[in-house]
Amino acid sequence: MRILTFDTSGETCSAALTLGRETREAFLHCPREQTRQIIPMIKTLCAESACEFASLDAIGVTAGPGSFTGLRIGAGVAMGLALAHDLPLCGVSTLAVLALGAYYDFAAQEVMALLDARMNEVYWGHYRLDQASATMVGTDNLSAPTNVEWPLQGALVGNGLTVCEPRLPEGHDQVIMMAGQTVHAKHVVPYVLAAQESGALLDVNAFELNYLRNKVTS
Amino acid sequence: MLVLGIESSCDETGIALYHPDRGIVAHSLYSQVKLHAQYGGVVPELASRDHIRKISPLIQETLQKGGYTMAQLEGIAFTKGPGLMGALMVGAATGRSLGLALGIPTIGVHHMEGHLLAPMLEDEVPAFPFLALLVSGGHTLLVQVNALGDYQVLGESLDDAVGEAFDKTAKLLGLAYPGGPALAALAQQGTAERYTFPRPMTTVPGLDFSFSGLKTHVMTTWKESDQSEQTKADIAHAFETAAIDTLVKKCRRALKQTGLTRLVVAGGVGANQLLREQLATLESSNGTKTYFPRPEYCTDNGAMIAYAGYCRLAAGECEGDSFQPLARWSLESLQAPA
Repeated sequence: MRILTFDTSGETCSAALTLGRETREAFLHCPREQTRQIIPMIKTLCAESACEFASLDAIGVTAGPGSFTGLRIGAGVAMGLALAHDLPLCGVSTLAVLALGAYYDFAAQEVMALLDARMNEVYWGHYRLDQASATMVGTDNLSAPTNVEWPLQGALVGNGLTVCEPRLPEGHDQVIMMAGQTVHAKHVVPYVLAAQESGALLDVNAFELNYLRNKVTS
Repeated sequence: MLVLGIESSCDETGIALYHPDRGIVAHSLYSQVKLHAQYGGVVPELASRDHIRKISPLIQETLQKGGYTMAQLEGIAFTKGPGLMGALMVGAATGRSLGLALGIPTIGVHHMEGHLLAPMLEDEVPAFPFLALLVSGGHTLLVQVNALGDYQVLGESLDDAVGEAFDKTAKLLGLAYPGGPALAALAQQGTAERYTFPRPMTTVPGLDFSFSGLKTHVMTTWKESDQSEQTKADIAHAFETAAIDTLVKKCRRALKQTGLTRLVVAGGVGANQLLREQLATLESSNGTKTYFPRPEYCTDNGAMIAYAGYCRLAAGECEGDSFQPLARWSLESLQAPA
């Protein structure tokens, strides 16, 4: 499989090119700079591997939750690339991608991924991970910090931790906390492979963002 | 050079294909007007979300209509600004990456330059230099157009844009959103001379406009009236007559001041019938030739972006790797292609 993935959903920007078993990633912390960084990143990755866009098998992108503008940068770029050569798309939960990073970094098999949703709310999702495949426990959520359902074990990751004090249930196991854990394009790849195997890659016109925050009018 | 144009600056997704030998070979427009009607105005976040849904099927539909494939595209033009940031972002990101993946040049176009050049898509094309009256829900501008990229703003609205004044006045009178065209239709049933409204800023020198006072005048008149259906139509008539008369007076003044003999009218209000009739009389009174794009190219559309983009791409310009849209962008900051 030849897969291009990227993420612009938050304060970082990353792109990853997978050719067979090898994945190369470019990553930058660059708040509000994704419109300037994402194209050069993709160009460089492809040029370094002499990879033509037409030769790709799929495009993967974080599809929410996240910054609305950041998500639309990612979605727009993904749709343009997919349209050009009629490539299938895979939109992956940003929280699932964050959780998978914790699995790789700490071998955490249960991960609660949290992202700062601003307006005194957090996006959160509880994932169970095994051999780099993730199962969502429940759904991705948006709520006030006080309504987060904290897990009994595993890892808590993401900048959502900076806006809420974990209230761990009694009898919880030791929990890893890593507020600095960030979303990486390379962690989108396993989900794209899984979607490809299960026939869940999408036509560009079926692609949708999952903002979670849908009350946007007063 | 076959250029795909993408417009997404506000509440309309517009896609078009321009070829220098064939003109506009296909264009498609999706208007979000129904989506925003219940809010009485454009909700930026909803607009951005809808552009994401519509842009890709609309690009495919337009290519199909024109009988072309992606591989035949030779350039991409997208609206870079001014406009709603989130809405612009959709067209910019999609357009820039489409150009990247196809290996063809991409250009970010100034929305107002698109409007200014829209009359070039008609059979009868104005020669440079000309005066342009750009009138829409977001803008009221008088511009001296010397050449592609050489624009001098002679006057603009100090408050509401004229289209905005139409919409707000319509709302005051209880007409459904977007009220501008409904107001114009209602005005036709109004009695002339029953009300006479002021022509703002026509008694002071200069070419700037102000329409918020006129809107307030309508509100006062309406509140003090019997509020009958006929009165509503009479007020609509008086408002439209005053607004259009103001635009025409300023056009006359600008033509006299600049010595220009060609007048181009663009933007959504350019579709207003009374404005068209009044400006057409300039030809017999002072020899000014007027040019109007067809109504579908007056409102926001992809065709004008494809054409303006073509002009700049053909002159060798193209966008770098960045595709940062500009919510605010001065028309006068544009430059002619090198």
